[in-house]
Amino acid sequence: MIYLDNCATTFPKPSIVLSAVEKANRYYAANPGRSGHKLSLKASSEVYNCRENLRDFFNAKSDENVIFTLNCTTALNTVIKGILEEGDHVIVSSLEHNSVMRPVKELEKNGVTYTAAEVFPFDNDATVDSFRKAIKSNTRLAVITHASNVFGIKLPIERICALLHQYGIIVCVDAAQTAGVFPIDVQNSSIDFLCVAGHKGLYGTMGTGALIINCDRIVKPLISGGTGSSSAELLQPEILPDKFESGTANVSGIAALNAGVSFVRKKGIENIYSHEMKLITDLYNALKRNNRVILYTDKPQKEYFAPVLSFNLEGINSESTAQLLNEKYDIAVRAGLHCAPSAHRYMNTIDEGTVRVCPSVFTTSKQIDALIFAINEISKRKYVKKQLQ
Amino acid sequence: MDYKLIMVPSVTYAIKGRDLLKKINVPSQVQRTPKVSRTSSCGYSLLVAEKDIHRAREYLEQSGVNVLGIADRNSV
Repeated sequence: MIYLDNCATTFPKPSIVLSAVEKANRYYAANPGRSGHKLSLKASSEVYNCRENLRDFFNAKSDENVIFTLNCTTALNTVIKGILEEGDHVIVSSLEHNSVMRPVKELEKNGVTYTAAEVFPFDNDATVDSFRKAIKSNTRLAVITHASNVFGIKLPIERICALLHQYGIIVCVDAAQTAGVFPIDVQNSSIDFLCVAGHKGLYGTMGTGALIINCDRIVKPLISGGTGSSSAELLQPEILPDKFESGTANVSGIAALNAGVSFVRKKGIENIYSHEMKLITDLYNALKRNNRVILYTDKPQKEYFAPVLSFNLEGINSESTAQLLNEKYDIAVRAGLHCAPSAHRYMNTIDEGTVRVCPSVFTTSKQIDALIFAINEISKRKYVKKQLQ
Repeated sequence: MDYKLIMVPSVTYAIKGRDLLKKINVPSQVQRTPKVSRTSSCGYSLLVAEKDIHRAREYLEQSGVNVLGIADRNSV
């Protein structure tokens, strides 16, 4: 199987990640931060090592400002639901995933309003200007994707942060598709809250994510419960990371994430990005030559794109294309709306969806050539006709 | 040698503190804080030699570790 669905989760995982999971479960899978015995302290130390690694990786203020979550969605919900109150206004971009749109729409029922700022590919000035126009007197928060999970379009986060901070607006960045692909420095970029998935570009296992806190704004925790600290108190502790980490931690997942981040560091983010971007550019150039292929952006360029490409074949439903790629060519891609109907609506692909291709550090040119061959064959409708008969 | 406990609010601070103290060559050990009052429980402490206790506390506080207090090892 040629796996090109790495935006959903990266596969395969590096061997050091698999070893870390095995080692954690075999040798120290005790509950961290709860007991004083050697195994519990060993588990706590491993959790702390990952916290330290992520703090350094994203240049967070301190280790305790790294909060482990189940995934990027949990991190986003923590910020959105922990900050916004009745009467508040929030700005999102026109390319958001449902992990942002659904909690925001849910809060609409409680008197929160929102504006979706338009994103203009290849025109960062226009994008920043559209965020400027979205600001209202009651805007409290902006939740912005770093790069679209469907079209790869990257937003000028640093410029948007600088603009919104002039108005005292808190900025939360959804880096689900960019953590591990682009260098992110929360302090230099002035990102207040950074939400990341652990199992995508950071090569950890599923069920991991992180919220990096880079400001002192008060956020209510999404869940409360046991933290192993201040147990005589019935109120949730205010100290970080305990405030946001109730319940038993995913020790083997966190160990895997630590190994994944170390893997990315060793490979080098620039190398990973260049490799994936070359594959996407080669794919784009090849598809551009096929007049039955519909592409939705101009040629991806470094400053403006994450290595993700969406396309369609003329007259063929995106799901059918993905199904044919899977069944006839053993190629895994994702079709449809990718949990991002807002982005599809904005790009006028809401009815048909798109076929999305996302490489990883393990993807080879040969695999992309096989995809190009398959797409060219399908576009001739050789298999589609057979399937319809 | 006599030892004392530097009490911190959580295991995260305890491990952070242990690593920080290593940098100034103060050996320490992470332990659960024994119950010291009706209202305090489930915290962690760093076991540090009494001769190093003031230097250790000062360094931890300067480095952003929230020190809850010092307790005698035997009194808790």
